[in-house]
Amino acid sequence: MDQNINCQEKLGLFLVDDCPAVATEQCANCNKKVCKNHIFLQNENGKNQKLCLTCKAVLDPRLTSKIELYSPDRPVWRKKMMNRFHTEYPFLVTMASQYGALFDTVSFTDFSNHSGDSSPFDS
Amino acid sequence: MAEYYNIQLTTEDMAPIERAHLHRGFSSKKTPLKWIRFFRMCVLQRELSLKKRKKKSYTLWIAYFIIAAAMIFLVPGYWIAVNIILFVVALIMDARYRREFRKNYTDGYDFFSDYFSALFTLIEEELPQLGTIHFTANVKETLAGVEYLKSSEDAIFETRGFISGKEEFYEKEIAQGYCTLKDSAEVSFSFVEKVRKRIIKKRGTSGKRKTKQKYKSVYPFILKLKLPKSVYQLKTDIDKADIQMEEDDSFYYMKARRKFDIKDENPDGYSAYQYRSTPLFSVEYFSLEVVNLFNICYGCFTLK
Repeated sequence: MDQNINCQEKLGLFLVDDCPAVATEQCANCNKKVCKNHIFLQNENGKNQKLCLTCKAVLDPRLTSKIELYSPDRPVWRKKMMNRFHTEYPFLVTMASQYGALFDTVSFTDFSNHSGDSSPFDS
Repeated sequence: MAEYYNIQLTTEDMAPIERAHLHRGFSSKKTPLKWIRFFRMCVLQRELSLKKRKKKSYTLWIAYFIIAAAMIFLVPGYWIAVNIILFVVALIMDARYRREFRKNYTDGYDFFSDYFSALFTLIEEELPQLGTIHFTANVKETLAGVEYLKSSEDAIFETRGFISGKEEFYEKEIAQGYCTLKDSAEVSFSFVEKVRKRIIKKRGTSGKRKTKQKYKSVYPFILKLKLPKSVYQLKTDIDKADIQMEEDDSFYYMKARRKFDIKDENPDGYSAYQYRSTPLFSVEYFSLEVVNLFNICYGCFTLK
């Protein structure tokens, strides 16, 4: 991984920033380059895939109520809740023009078998 | 990763505040992650203590039954009198164990653990790196004493057989806190429990006098934001229905309020007043609604 590339994930819900850390991994779903704090393992069909936080939050089938907050999965819970907030509430877009898209769009690839899911949020 | 899950509930690992009992309330400044850990440790502390209390009670009653059975053979003439005395002693000891536990711990641990862990997790990335939240809490029962009684007045209710009625209003600030966000905005919040207790004396259909007590609880959450004018400018077409706003030369002051009403918002789960009625709110519902207060406030501004 090129040491000069910064993590392509974003931090924050209202006060959105680019993650300042250096990218060390690549998402198996969207090919985004992310840092070690934004890479998560996802077991799909018996094999582990490395996903960025954005993809993990969408593709992880767990309910938010089943995710332990005092754990390394806390960012996944937060991202799921942010997605839910974005969907359920008239969300602030004030800063979108300054910061770019607040939420990245996830494109599904073949290894996901959740194509039948109707909702991106889970509870 | 392992250190996340395996919290060691030992005195050495705990800061003084973590050894403190929540019934006294607490006040501290911590990063969101440390608050989440703190809440978890408080819950663990209570669970551990409850387990010990139950074990002591169990041992006590087992010992009582063994001794009581032995007394039948040891003092056949007086075993009933001796057993009554032993029973009373065991009852008193058990009551003391329970009282000791209640003195040290109260309900509300899970409330803080779940609700504020969720809220702090959601706003964690809005804080600067290693930013802290100053948080003060009081989990005493709102109805426990006259200190939270705000007013009491006679009232008339259109109930069949009505004789007399009284309404008491209790109010207690469960939690309040403040922090600074990464845009230099200052946030303060408070969460209040308001309880209305109605005491209605009436005559039943059989003519018998009855006293009924009814409870209603609401939980206003108030968010105040102090936003620097150097960063934000006010939109021209804002809806002030949900907010109050003031300004001076350097800052905008915003206040938004969300009143949680367990009866209106969760009628299926609602029962008459329970000391632990707050868990009737879904944690996620609570945290998203509170985060929406930030949304309402920030929605009034554009970046300069």
